[in-house]
Formats: sequence, structure tokens, C-alpha cells
Amino acid sequence: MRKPPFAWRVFVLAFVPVCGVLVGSLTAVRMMMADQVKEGLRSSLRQTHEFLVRIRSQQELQNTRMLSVIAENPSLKAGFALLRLAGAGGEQERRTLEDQILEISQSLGFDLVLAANHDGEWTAGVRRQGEGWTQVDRGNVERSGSGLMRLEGKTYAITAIPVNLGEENLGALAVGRLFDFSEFTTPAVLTHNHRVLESNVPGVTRQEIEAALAGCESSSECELRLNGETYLSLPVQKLSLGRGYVVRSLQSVDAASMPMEVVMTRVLRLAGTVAVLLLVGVSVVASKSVVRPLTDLANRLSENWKLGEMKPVNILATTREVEELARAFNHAALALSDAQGRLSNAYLEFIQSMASAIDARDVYTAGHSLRVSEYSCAIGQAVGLDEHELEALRVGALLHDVGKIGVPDAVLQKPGRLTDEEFEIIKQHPVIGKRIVERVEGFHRYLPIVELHHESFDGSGYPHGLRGDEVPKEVRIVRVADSYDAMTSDRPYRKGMSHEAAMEILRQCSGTHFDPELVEAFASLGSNPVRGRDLVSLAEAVGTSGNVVLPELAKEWQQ
Amino acid sequence: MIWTGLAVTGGTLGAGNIEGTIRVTRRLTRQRVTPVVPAYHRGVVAPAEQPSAGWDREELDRVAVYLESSAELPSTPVIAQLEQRGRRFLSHTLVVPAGSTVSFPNRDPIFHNVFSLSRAKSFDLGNYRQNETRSVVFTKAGVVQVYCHLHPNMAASIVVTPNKWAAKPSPAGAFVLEAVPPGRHAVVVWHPSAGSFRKNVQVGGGAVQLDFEIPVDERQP
Repeated sequence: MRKPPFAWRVFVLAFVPVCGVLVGSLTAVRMMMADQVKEGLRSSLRQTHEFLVRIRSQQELQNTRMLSVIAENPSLKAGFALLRLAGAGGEQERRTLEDQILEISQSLGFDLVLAANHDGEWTAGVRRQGEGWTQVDRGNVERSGSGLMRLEGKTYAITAIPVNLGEENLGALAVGRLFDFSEFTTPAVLTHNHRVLESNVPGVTRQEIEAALAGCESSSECELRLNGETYLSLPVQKLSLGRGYVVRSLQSVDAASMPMEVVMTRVLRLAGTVAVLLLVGVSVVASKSVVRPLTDLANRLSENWKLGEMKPVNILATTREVEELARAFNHAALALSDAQGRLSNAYLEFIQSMASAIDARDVYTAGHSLRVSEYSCAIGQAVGLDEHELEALRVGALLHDVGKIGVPDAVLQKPGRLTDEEFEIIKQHPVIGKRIVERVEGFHRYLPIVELHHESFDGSGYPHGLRGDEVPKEVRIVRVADSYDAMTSDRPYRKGMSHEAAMEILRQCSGTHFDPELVEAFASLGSNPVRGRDLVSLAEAVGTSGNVVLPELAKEWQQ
Repeated sequence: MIWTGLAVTGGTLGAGNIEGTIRVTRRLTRQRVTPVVPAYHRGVVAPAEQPSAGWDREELDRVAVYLESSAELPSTPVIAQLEQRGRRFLSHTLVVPAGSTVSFPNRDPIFHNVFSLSRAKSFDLGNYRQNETRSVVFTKAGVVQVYCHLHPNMAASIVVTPNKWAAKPSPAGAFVLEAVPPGRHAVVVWHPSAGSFRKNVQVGGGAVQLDFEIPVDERQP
């Protein structure tokens, strides 16, 4: 797996925490808003409750006034007195009172009228049923005073007052209205001992409300979910409803927070997007500014690497750490280039000794390799090779005849003409050279020169008979330089040709043996192709450390 | 008006029947401005006032006809009954001659009470249960209004007549006072709300025809 770039790490480290803080604070704002909404709901519910309590107490007052008038009805009092006298078991007395109540109730606007004997026991009662009135089954009546009363599946709001004759209490009279939520402006639920008796929440059954309310304390605020909506439910305090009765009003939190939610969502989306974009931008800039010096440094280093050099880099950087890094690198680079210098010296020495070994084998061609190298470099410069190619050309040319090591002295040092067989042996030297160089690490770039420097332009050369562009340019250059030097050098059996004669022959063979372009380039160098550069070239060839063999060769060649 | 003809029999100074008819008419009454109580409640509409078919018959049932005379006329006391049934006295008006005993049996399954504060007779029979009865002797002539203390809507009138010539009109409004001693008398037609209507009559052999027209306020429902 590829390792993530440093920029990424910086970006993530800059982006993620701030993003987290951003998300956190937005969430906090949202929660605060939700709290605010709930607080608003709560206070609106409380207001409703106060209103309700006021209405209810007014009703109660009205009922009490009305009742006290009714209770002063002498006939009714006579009925109560009758019952009082009869005591328990006076069924006819009870029915008499019941009959009276029935008669009264028809002219009152209540839904339930009850009479209690002086023991506080409801003994007679009638309730509205449909158009008419029916007796109340006494067994079902709860024994309670004012408040709510549950009777035959209905809930009544009861107001009761005592009926007195002078000082003596005869009983009590109570009137009741069917309890409904007509006064409620909000959804409400009436529960008795956790059972839901009435509700005006649209579209929800009592069972569902009961299930939703199951987790709620009877006298505290509570949140519940109905029909997928969240409601805030607050019991109505200060409403004397009797034991176990609780009226809760509900407000949909969702409905209340919807408008704010919409605005919030829009704002948060906008602010969030802007903030994230800003953050991305800032993070990118931050990561870039952190990474740029490093990248610069890395680029410079990798450029060095490409050039294969270890030169010190510019330590001027924008940050201290990078400067340190550059400085450390420079130290390492210095050490390395030092080592490299020593290595290349050793390498150079090796090549030079190789070259001189070749030349030493063939005394007649002493200095040949060095000269060919010089000519080649001159041609190479003329045709515009770059520094690296020239370097390869220079070393390659020095080595081009290394294969001659494998040619027997008898053949190599034979004065006079060679036989065909001997010539065949000689022709083996590029292949032998190839085999030698092949095994030396780092010398592969010189292989073509060693192997192919006897290939001709028209394909008549050896060992492969390659033609034209099949042979690399530097090899073609060495081919020209080699031939020129062979012709101009003195041999035991002949004197070397003049420059002009050699050039004439080169020209003649241009296109057959030689690349015409290169011949032309060589010709353009004039009669002394390396003149004026000799010492410099020699110095280059010898390198900085004093060399024993090459200066001698150079001297020999100059003579 | 039907005139059956004045049958003038030969007998002079003989007892004779007084016959007649009573017609109840409606008296124009003031428009009521105060709605009835139930109209306040729950939007119950008070039933429109329209005379029921048997209105005049009902009113006739409240009417008593009796004879007044300056002469001492005999009274034959009777034993009568005024039942309390269905939270009502049956009937509205009872006509008895002075000295009669009236019992008030309670036929309802609830208690009733009978009392009167009338000048002719004031009494209170107390509360008593179903099928119990209590009775009162009415010695003095006059109208006795009877109520039930437990049921303020219950009311009846007992017309105690000075002599035995007394009657209630038939549903058609006809009445007959039979064998009225000759002489100058007055026939009184009494209605609880309309009051008394008096007509003098000379009885002296043969039947006498008397017709009354009684304007009655319509009772409130």
C-alpha cells in the first residue's frame, strides 16, 4: 500500500478537529434551540392550564351558587328530611327523593344530579341519557365529594354542597356536567390511576395514549410519542379533580419546532457549507505551507538523484526544521560525494589501466585507445551530444578494443599481413570485448561501443552486419575515429597516412563504411581535430589524481 | 245555543231541575315576555303554545257547579276519595257537600303529603307511603286548596258546597241540578283560575235552563 502523503496528514490533522468542533458547536446550538422550543411549549401549556383552572373554578362557583338555591327548595328539603327520618332501608323515601331530583333535573342544565344522605352516601341520582333521564345505579357511584366522578363509562365534573335544615345536616346535593375538553385549546388527556378515560387527541386511540403514557410519572412533565410525533405533556396542576384523576395537556414538539427547524436547517446548511469550504481552503493552504519547503527540498534532492549527483542543496528554507534537514542532507551529501569521488577515481583508474593494458598488448597501436577517445569526443561535440553522452563516448572509446585482450599475441603482434584465418580471429575481438565488459557492473552503457565498433553503415561490418541506425550514433562515431587513427598511425610495416589522405579515404567510404554525417562532422574539425584541447583532454582523461600510465601514453602520442 | 223550551208544567211551587251548559272560552292574555326556565338550558326550545284538542274538556273538569240559597237547604254528606296517582291529584276539582269525608289514598310508589292552608279547612296529613290513606271531614262550605308538600306541582281543589245540589259538568259541558226546591236561588259556576260566576234563578215548577260562558286564561305549560 502506498503511504499517504505528508500533505494529507497535515490536511486531516487541520481539518478533522476543527470540523469536529464545528459539528459539535452546531449540534449544541441545535440542542439549545430545541430546549428553547420546549421551554416555550411548557410556558404556553402552563398558561393554558391557568386559564383552564380559572374557567373551572368559575364554573364551580356558578354551580355552587345554583346548587345552594336548589338546596333551599322546601320540597326537596322535605324529601331529604323524609329520608333522614327513615334512616337506612327506606326505599320509598329514597324513591321519593329520587323522583324529586328527577323533576328538578329536568329544568336544570346539568347532566347528573345526585343526592346523598347525611352519612355522605349517594342514595339517589339521575343522569341524562339521550333525550331523557335515567336513574343512577347507586352501586356504581364513587363515594367522593367535588371533583371528577366516573359513572357508567362517562366522566362527570361534580359540584356538591350540603343540604342543611337549620343546624342539622340532611345530606348533600350534587350536580355534574359531562367532562369534555371543549375548553381546551390544546390536545388533552384525562387519566385515572394511569387509565386513559378521555382524550381529544385526534386520530389516536385511548389504548395508544395509555401505552405512550406508561412511562410517565402521573404528576410530572413527560414526553411521549404518538403517531410518530413527539408531544410534550404537562399535568394540569391546581385543578382539584379528586383522587387519581389527572388531566394532561399535550403539545406537539415537532409541530412547534418545525418552523424553527426549517430556519435552523437552512442556516446550518449554509453556515456549515461555508465553514467547511473555508476550512477545506484553510486546511489546504496550511498543509501546503507546511509541506512546500519539504516538497521543495525533496524536489531538489530528487533532481540531484536523477542527475546521479550528490551536490549540496540550498539550505535557505522558510522553516527551521527544513533548514536543519537540508543541512543534515548536505552533510550526508558531502560525505557521499566524497565517497563517490573516490569511487569514480578508482573506477577511472580501472578504465585507464584497462585501456593501457590493451595498448600494451599491441605495441604498434600504443596510444590508439586514447586517441580514438579524443577524436570521438571531438566528433561527439561537433554533432551536439550532451555531457552525459560525451562521457559515455569518452570511456566507451577508451575501452573499445578491450576484446583484443583475448586475441593471441601471435596474431595481434604479427608484423605484416594477416592471413584470412588470423583476420577471422581478430574479428572476434568485439565479441570477446562484449563478454568482458558485460560482466563489469556499471559498464553496460559501453557495451554497444565495444561490441559494434566494427559495424559498417551499409551493413558490411562485423560481427552482426547491422546497418545505418541499427547501430547507435556513438558507436558510429567511434567507428570513424578508430578508422582515422588506424590510418594516420605509423605501423612497423608502413608509415601513417597524412590527415588529408585519411580524410580522402573516409570520404570515399562515407555511406558504405561510415555514416556520412559523421564523416562530414569530422572533416569540419580541420586537419588537427583535437589540437588546442589536447592537454585539457589529457588532463580530463587522467583525472585529478596523478596517473602514471596515461601521461606517458599522452606523451608518446604527442611525439 | 239550544233552547229546549221552557216546559211550564201545571204544578206551581214544585221542585224543579236546573239544567244548563257551560262553555269555556279562551280569554285573550298578555304576551309572556319571560321565557320559561328550560329555555335557558342547552338551547331547549319551549314548546310552542298551541291549544290542545281536549283543552276545553280539561278545563271543564276543573269546574264546579253548585247552588247557593238564602234558604236553609239540606246537605247530605258523602264519603269521597281524592287519589294521588302519577304525582297528581285525581281529579283537579272535587265537589262535596259540607260534612263530607274525603280520603286521600296514595297510589304512587313514593311518599306524598296532603295539606291545605285554606280558610274553609286547613290541615296537614303528613307524609305517608303507597296505599296508605288519610281522610279529612269538611264541615264548612268553601273552596279548599289541597297541596302536596313534597311535590309543589301537585294541587287540587275541593269545593265544599253548602247543600247537596252540586255537580261537575259533563265533558260536553252540561249539568243538571235535580229537584231543586222552589224559590229564589243562585247557581254558581266556579273555576280555579276564572273564579265564580253567579246567576240568579227562580225555581218554581218546571226545569230552568241556565247557560254559562267562562273565559279562562290559558294555563302555562
